[in-house]
Amino acid sequence: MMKKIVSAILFSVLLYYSFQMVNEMLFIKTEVNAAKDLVLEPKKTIDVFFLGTSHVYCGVNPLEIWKQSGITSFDLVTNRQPIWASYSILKQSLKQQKPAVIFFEVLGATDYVEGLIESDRGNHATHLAMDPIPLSFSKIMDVLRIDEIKKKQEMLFPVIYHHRRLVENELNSTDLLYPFTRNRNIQKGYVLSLKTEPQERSGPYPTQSIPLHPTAEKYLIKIIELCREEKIPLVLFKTPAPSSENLLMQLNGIAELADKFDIPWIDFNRLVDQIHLDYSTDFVDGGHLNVFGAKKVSAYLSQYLQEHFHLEDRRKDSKFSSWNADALHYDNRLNLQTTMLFPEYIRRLGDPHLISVITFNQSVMDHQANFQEGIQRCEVEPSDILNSSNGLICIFDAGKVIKSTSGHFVHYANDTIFNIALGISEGTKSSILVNQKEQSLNVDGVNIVVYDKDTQTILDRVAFLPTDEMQAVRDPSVVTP
Amino acid sequence: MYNNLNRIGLTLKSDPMKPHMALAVQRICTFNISLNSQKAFLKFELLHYLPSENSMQLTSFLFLLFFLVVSSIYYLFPSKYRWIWLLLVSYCFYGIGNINSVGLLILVTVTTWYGGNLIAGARHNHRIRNSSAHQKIILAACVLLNIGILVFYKYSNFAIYNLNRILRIGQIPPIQFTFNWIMPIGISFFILQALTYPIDIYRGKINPEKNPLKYALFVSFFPQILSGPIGRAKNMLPQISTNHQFDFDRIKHGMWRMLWGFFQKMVIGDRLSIFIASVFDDPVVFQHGGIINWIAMVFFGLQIYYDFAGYSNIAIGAAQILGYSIPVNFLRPYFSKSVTEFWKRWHISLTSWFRDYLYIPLGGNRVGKIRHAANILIVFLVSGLWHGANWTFIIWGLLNGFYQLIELSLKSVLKPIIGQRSFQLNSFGWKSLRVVMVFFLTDFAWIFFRSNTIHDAFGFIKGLFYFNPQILLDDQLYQYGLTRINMQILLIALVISVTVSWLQRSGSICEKMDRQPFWFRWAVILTGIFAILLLGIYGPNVDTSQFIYTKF
Repeated sequence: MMKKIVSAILFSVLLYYSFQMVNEMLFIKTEVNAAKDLVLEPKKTIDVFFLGTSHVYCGVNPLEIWKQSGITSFDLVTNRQPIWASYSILKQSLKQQKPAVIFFEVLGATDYVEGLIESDRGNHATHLAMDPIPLSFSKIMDVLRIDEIKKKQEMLFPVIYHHRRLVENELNSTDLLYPFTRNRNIQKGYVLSLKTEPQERSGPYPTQSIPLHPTAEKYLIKIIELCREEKIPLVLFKTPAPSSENLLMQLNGIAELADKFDIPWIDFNRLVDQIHLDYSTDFVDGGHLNVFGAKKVSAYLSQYLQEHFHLEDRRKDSKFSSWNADALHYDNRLNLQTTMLFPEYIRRLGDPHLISVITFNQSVMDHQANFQEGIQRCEVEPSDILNSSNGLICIFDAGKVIKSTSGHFVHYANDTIFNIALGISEGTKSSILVNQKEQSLNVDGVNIVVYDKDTQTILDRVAFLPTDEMQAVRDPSVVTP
Repeated sequence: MYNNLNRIGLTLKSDPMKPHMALAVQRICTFNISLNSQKAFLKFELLHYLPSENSMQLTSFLFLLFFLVVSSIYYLFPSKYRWIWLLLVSYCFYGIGNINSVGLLILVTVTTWYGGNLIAGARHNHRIRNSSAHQKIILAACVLLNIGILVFYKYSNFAIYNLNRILRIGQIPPIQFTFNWIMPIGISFFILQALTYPIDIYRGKINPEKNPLKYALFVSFFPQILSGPIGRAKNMLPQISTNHQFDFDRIKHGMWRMLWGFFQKMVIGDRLSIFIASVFDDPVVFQHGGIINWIAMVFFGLQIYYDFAGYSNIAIGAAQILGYSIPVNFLRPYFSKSVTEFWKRWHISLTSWFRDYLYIPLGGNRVGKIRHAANILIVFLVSGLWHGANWTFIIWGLLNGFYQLIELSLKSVLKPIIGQRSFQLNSFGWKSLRVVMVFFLTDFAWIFFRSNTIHDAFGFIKGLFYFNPQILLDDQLYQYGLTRINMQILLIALVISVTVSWLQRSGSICEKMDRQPFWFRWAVILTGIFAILLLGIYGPNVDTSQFIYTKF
C-alpha cells in the first residue's frame, strides 16, 4: 500500500510540474513578462519598482538610472496593465524582492480603467499580467478576491484560456521552450523604441479635479495599504504625455488623493520644461516616450531617488557586476540601432548576444570600395559576389562568421529558438526568414537582420543601399522592393 | 473557429416545445476561512466566483473541484456514516442551479419510498383480505403519480400545442395558455430510477428499505441524478448499506474511467458537434449538402455516442471512486450486427428499464405476432417520447421500432437460406456488412432525432441525394467549423477510440493497464490528460459543454 501511495504522490508531482510547464508554454509572451522577468533577478537585489502600463516600459529606463546613480530598479510592467493586476503583481513581487521604494504610474488609476472592466480587452490585459505569475496559494487568493476577474478558473489555469493557441497554430518555438529558458530581461522591463512622432503639448492645467473611478480608487488604496504594511515608501507619478483636459483634471484628483495619504506625487506633465522634454522629438506616439524622452525622465528619477531616498550606489559592488554588463549590452543595442554607416554597423555585430544574417546582392560590387571593409569582415571575397548569380549570404553568431556561402538556400539553427531559412534568388532578391517569418527589407544592396538571443526578438532590420552614401534604411515603407 | 462556436453553439432544439434547462448559480454557501495572520478572515464565497452557465456540468471546472472536495472528505468520514455525507452533497449538487426542483425530488423520493413500503406492508399484513389487489392499487397510484409528474412537466405544452393544431383544423379558437416553467433537470432519469423501488417490491424482488434517508440517497446519488445511468433499487440500495473502504486500485480505475469519459466528450463529441451544428441548424447548407449531409449524419451518430458514453463513463467512474458500482451504459453499440443487438448495447440502463418495466408487462414476445409487433412499437414510441416532447423524437422511436420489425420478418423469411455457403452470417464479410448496415440505419434514424423539425429532417434527407462528391477534392469540407487540423485531430481521436473498443473485447482496459510497467501507465495517463487539456473543446466562447442527455 505504501508503495502505491508513494507512486501516486510522485505521479501527482509530475503531473503538477507538467501542468505548470504547459501553462507557461501556452500563455502569450510579450517583450515584458513582469512577474517571470523579476523571478529571474537574484532575490533582494532590486531597490526600486516602477509599476504600471506601457507608459512605464516606454518611459522609465532602469539601465539609465543605473548608469547615472548605481541604483537598481525594475519596471514591473505589462501591456495595458489593469490596476487590479498591478496590485497583485506588486504583492507577488514583494515575495521576491524587498525594494526600498515603489513608484506607481497612475495611468491605470484614471478612467483608463473603465474600458478594462468586464471587457475582453481587460480580460486579455489581465491575462498578460497574471499568467506569468506562478500558481501559488497567494495567487489563488488574489484571483478569488479580485472581483474584476470574472473568470477565475481561466486566470488560475491559463491553459483554459489559451489552449486553442495550439490548434490554431499560434505557438512558436519561443513558446514551447519558454519553461526551459532562464533568460533575464537585461533591459529590466524597459522597451527600447527609436521611433519619433512629433506631438502637441497639452493645454494649461485646469484648476478643477475629477474624483477617481471607484475601481481605480479601490485598488490604489489597496496598493497604498500594501506598501504601508510592508513599510515601503510609495511614490505616485505620471509620465509625460499629451493629455486631454479631462485627464488633467483626473490627475488633479490623484494629486488630492496623494496629498490625503501623504504620498509624494510627481507629475511629469508639470516638469516638461525642467527636464527639457521636446514634444517634437521625444515621443513614439500620443502616449509613449521614445528612447530620448525616456532618458530625460529616467535622469530626473535617478536624481530624485538620490536626493530623497539616499540609495546605495552599487556600480562598484561586484555582486552587481551583471548590471554593468547589461548596461553595456544595452548601449550596444542602442548604438546598433542608431548606426547609419555600414563598416561601423558590421563592427558592432561582434556583440556576443547577437546573431546576424547579411545578404549581399551583386549590385554591391558597383560600389565595392565603400563596402570593402564590411565585406572583409564577413570573410567574403569580392570576386565571390561578382561570380555568384545569386549573391552571397553571411551569418554571424557571437561575432564570428559561421557561414558564408553563395548557395541559394542556407539553413542555420543555433538552437531551436533561432531558426533561419534563407534564400536569395536572381541576385536582386533577399529573403531572410527567422522562425518562419520574413524579416528581410529586400533591398537591392545589403540586407541585414539582427536577432537578439537574450530577448529572442529581432533587434534590427536594416538595409544599406548600394550608393556612394551607403545610407542605412530601416523603414520598409521607404524602400522599393 | 472558436468564435464561430457562439454562433453555431450546440443548442439542440429551438422548438418551444422543448424546454431548455437553465442553470443559474445560486449563492448557497459561504465559507469563512480563518487564517492566523493579521488578515484574520478571508471571505471565500466559493460559488459566487464561478460561472453561471453549465456550472455543474460534469465536464466543468466546478464539478472537478466539487468532486475532489467531496471524495476527499468522504473518506475522512467513518465508513458507517459515509452515506450521510453523500446524501448531503447529492442534494447540494442537485440544488445548485435547481433549487426550485429540490421539492420535486423530495416528492418523488417520499411517494416512491412510502408507496414501496406500503406495498411491502400490505403483503405482510394478514388482516388485509385481498392483499394482492391492495398492493396493485398502491403500485398503480404510485406509478401514476410519478409518471403523471413526468408527463405534466414534460408534455403539457406539447399536448396543448397539438390540441391547438387539431382545433385549428376544426376552426375552433385555440387554447391561449402555455406552462411557463423550466423542466427540472434529471426528472426523466430519477423518476424512472425511483420507480424501480415500488415495482421491484411489488414483484417481490427486493425488501423494503427502512431508512428513508438511505433511500433518498438512492434517488439523488449525484453522479447519476442528471443523466443516469438509470440505477435499480435492487443494485443500489444494498450498496448504500455497505461500508465502503478506501480501495486504492478501485479509485485509480475510477479516475481512469473518468479521464476516458472526458476524452470522449471533450475531444471527440464536442469537436463533432461544431460541424454538426453548422450543417443541421442551417437549411441553406443542408438542403444542398450532399456529401456534407452524409458526413454530418455519420458525425451525429458518433457525436451522440461520444457525448453520452463520455457522460456515462464520468458518472460511473465518479461512483467507482466513491465505492459504488454502476453497470455500464454502452457496450460498443456501433459494432452491433443487428438493430436488435444495437438496442441491447445502447443506453443499456434505459432500454433494460423499458424491457423490464414496459415490454415484459405488455407480454414481451410471448404473445402473438401482431401483439409482439405492437409491443415493440409501443416500447419504441414511449422511448421516443421519453427523449422529448417533439414529433421528431416520436418518428425516431418508431423508425427504430420498424427496423426491428423488418429485421424479425427478414429473419423468418431468410431462415431457410441462412447457414448456406453464401449466407454464413458469422463470416467476416457478412459480419462487416451487417455492422456497416446497422451503423447507417441507426445514423439515418438519428436525422430525426437531431433535426429541429420534421420538415427540417426531410429537407436534410433530400439533401443527402444532392450529388457533389467533388467537394471532397477541395477545401470545402473545412468550411463547416472544423479546420483541417481539427479534422486531423478528430480522425486520430476516433482511431484511438476504436482501438480502445477493440481492446475492450478481450477484457477490461484497466486490468490490461495494470499489467503494464508504471512508466507506460504514467505516459498514457499524462498523454490523456494533456490531450484533453490541449485538444478539448472548452474555454472562452465555447458553448458545447452541456451534455445532450441532460436536456431530456
